[in-house]
Amino acid sequence: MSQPPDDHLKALWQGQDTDTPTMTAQAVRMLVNDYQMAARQKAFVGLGICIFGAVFFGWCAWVTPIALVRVGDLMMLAWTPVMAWIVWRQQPASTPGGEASTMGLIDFHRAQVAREAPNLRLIAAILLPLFTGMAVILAGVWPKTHRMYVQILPILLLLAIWLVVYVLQLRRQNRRVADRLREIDALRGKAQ
Amino acid sequence: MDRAAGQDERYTAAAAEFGGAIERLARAYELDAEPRRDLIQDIHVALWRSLGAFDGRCSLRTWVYRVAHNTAASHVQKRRRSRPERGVTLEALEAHADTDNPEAKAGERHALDRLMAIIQALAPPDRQVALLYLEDLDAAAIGEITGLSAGAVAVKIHRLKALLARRFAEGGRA
Repeated sequence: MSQPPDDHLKALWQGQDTDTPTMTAQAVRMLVNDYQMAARQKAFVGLGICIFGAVFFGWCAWVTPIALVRVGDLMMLAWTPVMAWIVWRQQPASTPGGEASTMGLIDFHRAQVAREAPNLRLIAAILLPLFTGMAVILAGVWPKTHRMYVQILPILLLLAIWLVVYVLQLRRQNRRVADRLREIDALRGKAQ
Repeated sequence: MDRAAGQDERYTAAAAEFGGAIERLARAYELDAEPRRDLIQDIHVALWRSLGAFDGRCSLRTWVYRVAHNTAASHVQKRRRSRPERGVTLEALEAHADTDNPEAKAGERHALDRLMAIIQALAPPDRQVALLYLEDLDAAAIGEITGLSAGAVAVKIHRLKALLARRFAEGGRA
């Protein structure tokens, strides 16, 4: 039997058994606070690491007897506020409010996803002072004996491995972001 | 009445009136029970937050549906990262042979299950229009919520109605 499905299906859909939500405004307030706390905690952990770095390099610069090492430590110290700013800036933007249309929301997500793409200029801005500072510190403590070479070489090796892994990870992240942007664009195209 | 109290009061009224619709919407967007509970919770949180900025320029119903669908769309986007989900457009679903449809192969099933299966197979923008249509909103209200033009909504509703009519005619009424 083929009747027009409109009213029947609407009634069927709206007549589903549902558990009436029992969330009170107070419970929602608590959830909102939890979400905000979690986002802030992440940012504060990052900031804590930056502060630790600043204190550590400041202390190193203070106690080291080698002038070149002190210069390197001070360069690292100067880099920590930049890192703190970057960590703070990485916090997700607040979601559009109820006034946003679905299209607006899709655009918002696209912008958020696009932000996750590795920004090579930003990475260079972070890594260049960091590596320059490390190079200066290394130059200051450059081994004079065979034993000191043995101590320093594993660190250099680990650093080289980290660099290779980091570059591979950046490439992978780039591909993932591009895939997700394509998905979102397809979604947007379908919505129009 | 201070702003916070007004927000709480509006939320309580909205949750009481549209709680069922929010749950139905969540079912259409999320199959698994546990993430669905999270989605419903997220919608309520988003609704409470948004009601602080509710200025009455549209109806409360339009506002609630817009917030709910926006939150569900965000949920779908997040879930895509961990579990790829690819809905199809109304056009593609219309073209799809019913014999390939799992619910048809399964034989006699409840009409609601079939309806849910059709809705869940749709891509989120089409799904949104379908859900609002089933919640009995008119094309103008759907356009206001989705940001689509009235013409685009009318076309989508027309296709949806044709698709549902054909599917239910082929399968028989439940």
